[in-house]
Amino acid sequence: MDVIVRTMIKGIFPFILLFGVYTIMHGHLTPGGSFPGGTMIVVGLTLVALAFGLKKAERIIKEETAHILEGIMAFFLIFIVLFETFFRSILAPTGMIFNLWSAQQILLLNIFGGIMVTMALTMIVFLLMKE
Amino acid sequence: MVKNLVVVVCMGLIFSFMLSVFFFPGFGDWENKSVADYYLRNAFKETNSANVVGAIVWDFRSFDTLGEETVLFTAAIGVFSLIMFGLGKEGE
Repeated sequence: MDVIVRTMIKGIFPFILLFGVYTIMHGHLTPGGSFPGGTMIVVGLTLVALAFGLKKAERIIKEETAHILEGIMAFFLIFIVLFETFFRSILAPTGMIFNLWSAQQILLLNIFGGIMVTMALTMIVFLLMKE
Repeated sequence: MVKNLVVVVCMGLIFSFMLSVFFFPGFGDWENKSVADYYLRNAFKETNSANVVGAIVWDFRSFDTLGEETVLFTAAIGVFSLIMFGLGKEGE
């Protein structure tokens, strides 16, 4: 693509990543959560892949790595949801409300779910771009 | 025999689900016998989360959300299998 588009994306890409991570991490405090945050990160990766080509984007995260990480995160997610009462009884008294470390199993589920959404959409976008 | 039994069970399930429409609370009548009222009053206390929507999605209905994630997982695996073993090689 153009030099203009490349320069813009070079400047804007870290902020897109930062906002996506913020949306995932604050899913229990502000509107948002794992699905919108993961989608934001994937939008940043897609912009890089469109402007600089798939080789440069796969230097950030490879499609095979995304596949493996997605499976691991799905396992963690099922584990936490199945033993939710157990996690709550352990973690709930340690958190202060309105702090980042509060609503513990929701925070963990948001982080793992956000990574899983990111990896799944990254896989879809990269595979469709390869084709 | 088994086929008829499955049909009868399915028809019974459909009938009972349709019957439950008559026991819904009325439109706009959220104060009586409604689960939304319970969520709004108790989400802050029970889950320690400041975001009520997040509390409902990830705490009260976490199995539902797990199903959503399963949908996404299935979509990713579907695209993967379609491109890796599917139409691409035959089309070329």
